[in-house]
Amino acid sequence: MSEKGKKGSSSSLKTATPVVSGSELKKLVSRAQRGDVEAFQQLYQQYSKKILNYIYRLTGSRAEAEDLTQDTFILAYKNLKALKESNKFQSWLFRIAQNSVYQKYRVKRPPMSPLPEDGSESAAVNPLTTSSKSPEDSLLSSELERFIEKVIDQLPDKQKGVFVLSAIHKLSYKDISAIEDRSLASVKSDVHRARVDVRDKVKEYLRKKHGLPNVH
Amino acid sequence: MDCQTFIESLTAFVDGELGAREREALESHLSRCRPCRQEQESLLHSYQLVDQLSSLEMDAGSWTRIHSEITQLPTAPPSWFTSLQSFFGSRWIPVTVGALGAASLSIFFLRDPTIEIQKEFQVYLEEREEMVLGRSPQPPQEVIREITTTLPNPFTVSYDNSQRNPFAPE
Repeated sequence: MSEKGKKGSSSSLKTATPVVSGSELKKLVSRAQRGDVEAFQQLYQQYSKKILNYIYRLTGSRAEAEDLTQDTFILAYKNLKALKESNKFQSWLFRIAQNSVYQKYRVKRPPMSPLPEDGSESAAVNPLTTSSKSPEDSLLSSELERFIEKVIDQLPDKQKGVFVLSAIHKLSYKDISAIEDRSLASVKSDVHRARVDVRDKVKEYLRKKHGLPNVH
Repeated sequence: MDCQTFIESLTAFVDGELGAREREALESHLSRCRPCRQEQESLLHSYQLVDQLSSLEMDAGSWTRIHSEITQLPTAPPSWFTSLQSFFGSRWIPVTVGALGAASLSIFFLRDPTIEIQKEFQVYLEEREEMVLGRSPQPPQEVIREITTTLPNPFTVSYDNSQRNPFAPE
């Protein structure tokens, strides 16, 4: 399980839970595999927020994301003994989360929370903008934030999954290919397409909004 | 490397996913190509914006539901190995190694050396019997010598030199 720490200095501000080291993780997983509920609770505290946000971005529903996150952890506990390499716990958990979402929405995707077309609606519409956001993080206007969320949501499913795992959860392409069960080349290609798509749409939005011809 | 190839690898480059050789080639290209540098800056700017997106917090009561679900699961009886691990805690590895070592040493020291000799003697007797009954060809002289020198002859043990041979000439 590798997590890229080189990019996104601002994202580290949001991480309240201390990150466990590789050896600590191994011990926690090993204890949880022997039925230690307290160790599993620590794993839950470590990863539940990531899983919640991952599922939220796949489903677009906070309530569903909460339920599916709980289901993911219950399923993970039941099958923990099947996990051979404890250092791959995070990837394994994301895989379970993804399967839970696909299982539930195989037929029908949940209705998305309405997102504003032009940023004119109040911030309360989007649960993400009402969540714990410190003043230091307020460089991004809620309007722009909602626009970016909408752009991400409108990505093709194939690109959205890899984009969320790479851009938001900072997982390596190798881990993403394991979670998505796809080749490394395919992951690389879709991350690139999604990144360029998001960049182009945000650029266009900023150009129209602020009339800035030379916005990056 | 042309600009199009570079742009296609730009995301992997920014994500730190390129190998050393590709990375060096791109860095070299970037230092010379202004449009590609602008492309990179533009991409980095969108990275910064995405990094600032807010995230949801888990509901405080979520763990309660998970906890009640997982504590109601039927627990399978622990295997002997798991029991051993939990009994000795973190010391189960040296304890197991020590027990195996003690078992090996006891086998080495307590084994009965006469058993192997008895087996060899049994083979010797069977071979002799085969030869006497003419069921097998005569073994080469080297084998006979080996058998007769390496194995104890049971008849020499009971032979009493002190008794007089009644058939010997006076």
